[in-house]
Amino acid sequence: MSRLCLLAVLLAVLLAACNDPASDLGSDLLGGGLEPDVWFTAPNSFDTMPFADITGQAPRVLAGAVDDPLFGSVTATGYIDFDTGFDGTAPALVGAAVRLRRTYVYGDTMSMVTLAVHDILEQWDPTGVKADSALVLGPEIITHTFLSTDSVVLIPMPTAWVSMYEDTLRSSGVDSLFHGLAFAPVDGQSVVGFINSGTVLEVYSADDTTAFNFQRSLTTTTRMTEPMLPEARAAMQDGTGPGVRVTFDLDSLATQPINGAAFLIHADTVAFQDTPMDFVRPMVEELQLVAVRNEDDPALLVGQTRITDEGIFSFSGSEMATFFYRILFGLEEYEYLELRVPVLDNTLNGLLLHDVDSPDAPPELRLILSS
Amino acid sequence: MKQRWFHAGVLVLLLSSAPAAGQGRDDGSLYSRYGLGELRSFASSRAQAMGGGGTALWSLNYANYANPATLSRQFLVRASAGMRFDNITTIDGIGADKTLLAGSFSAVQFGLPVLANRLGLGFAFEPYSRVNYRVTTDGALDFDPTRATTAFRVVTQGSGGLQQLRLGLGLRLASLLSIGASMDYLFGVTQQSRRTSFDSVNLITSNVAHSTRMRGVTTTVGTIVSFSAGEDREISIGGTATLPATLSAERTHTLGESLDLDTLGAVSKGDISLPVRTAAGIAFSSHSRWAFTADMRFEPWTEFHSALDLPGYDRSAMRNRRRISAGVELLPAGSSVTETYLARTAYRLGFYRDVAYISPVPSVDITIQAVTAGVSLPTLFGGTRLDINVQVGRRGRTSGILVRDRFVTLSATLNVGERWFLKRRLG
Repeated sequence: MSRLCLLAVLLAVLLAACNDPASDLGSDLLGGGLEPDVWFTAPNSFDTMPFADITGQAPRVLAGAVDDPLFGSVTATGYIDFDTGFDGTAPALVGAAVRLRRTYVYGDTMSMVTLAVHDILEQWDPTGVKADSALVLGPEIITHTFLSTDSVVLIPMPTAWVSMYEDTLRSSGVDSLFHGLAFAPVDGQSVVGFINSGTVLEVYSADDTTAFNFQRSLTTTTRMTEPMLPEARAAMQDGTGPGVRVTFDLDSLATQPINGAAFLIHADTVAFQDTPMDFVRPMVEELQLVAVRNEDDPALLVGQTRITDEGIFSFSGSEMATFFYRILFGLEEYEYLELRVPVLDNTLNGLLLHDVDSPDAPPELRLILSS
Repeated sequence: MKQRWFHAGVLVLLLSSAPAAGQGRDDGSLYSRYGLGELRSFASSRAQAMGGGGTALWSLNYANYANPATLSRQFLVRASAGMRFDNITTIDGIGADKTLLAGSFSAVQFGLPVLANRLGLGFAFEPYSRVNYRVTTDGALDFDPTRATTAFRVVTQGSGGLQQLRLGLGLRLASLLSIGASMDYLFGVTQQSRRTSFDSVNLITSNVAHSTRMRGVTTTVGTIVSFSAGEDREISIGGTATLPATLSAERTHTLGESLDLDTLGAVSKGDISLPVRTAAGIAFSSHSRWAFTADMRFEPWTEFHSALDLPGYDRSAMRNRRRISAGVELLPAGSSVTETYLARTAYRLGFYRDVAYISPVPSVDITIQAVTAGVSLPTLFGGTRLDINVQVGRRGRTSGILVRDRFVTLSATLNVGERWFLKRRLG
């Protein structure tokens, strides 16, 4: 009897412990096609749209004017407020100057740029202010001309201006009279950018120099002429627009599970880099894809990617897969997707994209279908 | 008391291995993907070792569900439980092979003589069909041109199957004629799934499955006519018919795994019509030492219809199932209980040939051929035997997309027999 029990136990253990190796043998018998299926589609729409970036409190202000043969002409006015005020007893002032450290140029690098300096006549809060806004300015204080590639621009302020603001600049409290300076384009063929670090208002006494640091900033832009684009191309430009709005028709895939999503956009880098001599046109190298639910809600960041050496922006992260999964299952709704330049530095960088009519490299959405 | 504890312990041990199948840790034949799955039947461990028929096979030691009429001839209360272990080597047309291992339970049966050797009841829980396969496909996907190709793995698998609960009654109308019937409740769930995973954090693993829940009732009727062929010799002829049945089915599509499941779309509902299943057999026994049985089964599955889209189901894919089997048993000791252990051991041998009811390739029949054998080991407890059976066979053929299974099935069944409901008498 004990032998029978032992036999039964051995059989039971054998049954419970068995397992098997993985194998693709028999995949043909199951009908083949077991590999994931990639579904391709072009955007339903891929249109440019007016766009004004948030430039308030950007670390860089832009000023100047450029007439780009591809992207059209744009003007930019920079607004800077300085952290004025002395601690303790301030000496008598004998002069003042604005020292601007240039870190950006767009346009003709051999052209001279002339900017007019104005007082800003209103209190302003730069938070969230867009490039299509404007501040109230006083009359022109002075104009200053410099080469667009100068790394430092020093604009001496007139004696009359120093005298007018001497008490304000020597005070120790928050002033209500000085709201900063604006730098508006007068002449030239380039837009330059001044970074906050090293951009100061210097005031001089008989014995010393005091620097008031860059405190608040804003850049406003005005598009004077529209871009002149080749066929089947779309342009987008940081700061001033246009932007690109994208929609997809995915109704046929409702409740279709997916494993991944990739949205591929091809930049026409050849046409983009075809510029006049000495003309610099910086290119957008990083893009965000955001979903806009409605104009009042904050946009949802769906993906962010850098351009490859081949000129491709590929949004293909897990956030993309999750977003489109939720779209297909009705868990997420959006009005449109929008291409944006990350709000890092304030620029007028541009991008020339193949649009849906491009025979070479139209934008394309790829979805890995689960079944 | 010791005997009861032994029986209970071994039965629990045998049944405890059954969940291994339900947990999907093991795999069976790829052909089980099609239709309702691989058809299973278990009349008794004795019949299993003799080719799997047994339509006309009487036995005092086994409840035989091949024919409910056999329930009429019971003397002891009988319970049996068994398990099986399948080792399947699958070979494709280019010679590649893989070995799959699967464990599952055979059946649980219970027989009760209402009137000894005249009227008997029977209850059985046994599989009707089983889906159990897995195919793993590895590859690389060139999805994003800005990245390297991504390795993927797709696991396509199926599990589950139909079970049946059978309640039968057998009546001996006359010394020659017995009749019987059973009500068979069919139920179960089959699940086909596809899990896709990637070697990339940017891609989501998915598991898409559809589960089909089925249930329905049918009836099996049977009869046996037995003739004496001399002293302690008997010839029996039997036949059964399981009536056509309609299963109501619901199908649910899900996405996800474990508790994180999302239902995709609406639940599909429809009927599945099973055809009549007929069987006939002849058996001969001599002095309780020798027994022969030969059986044939015919099931017109071309009349099968499903409103739901079953894997591989197409009218042209359906076949009329034809199964023949035969077997022989030798019990050297006959009915003697004083012979040696080996003489009281029963030795069985049989074979069968089956044409599957569905084929992945409409023009090709999938045939199953096997040799069966077994020993029935007596125990210290009278009426209780442990049966060890083995089947060695092959299924399908390596032609085109088809594969051939070489299978070895080992099964163990404990058959317990006791006399119940006896009045104690003081002498």
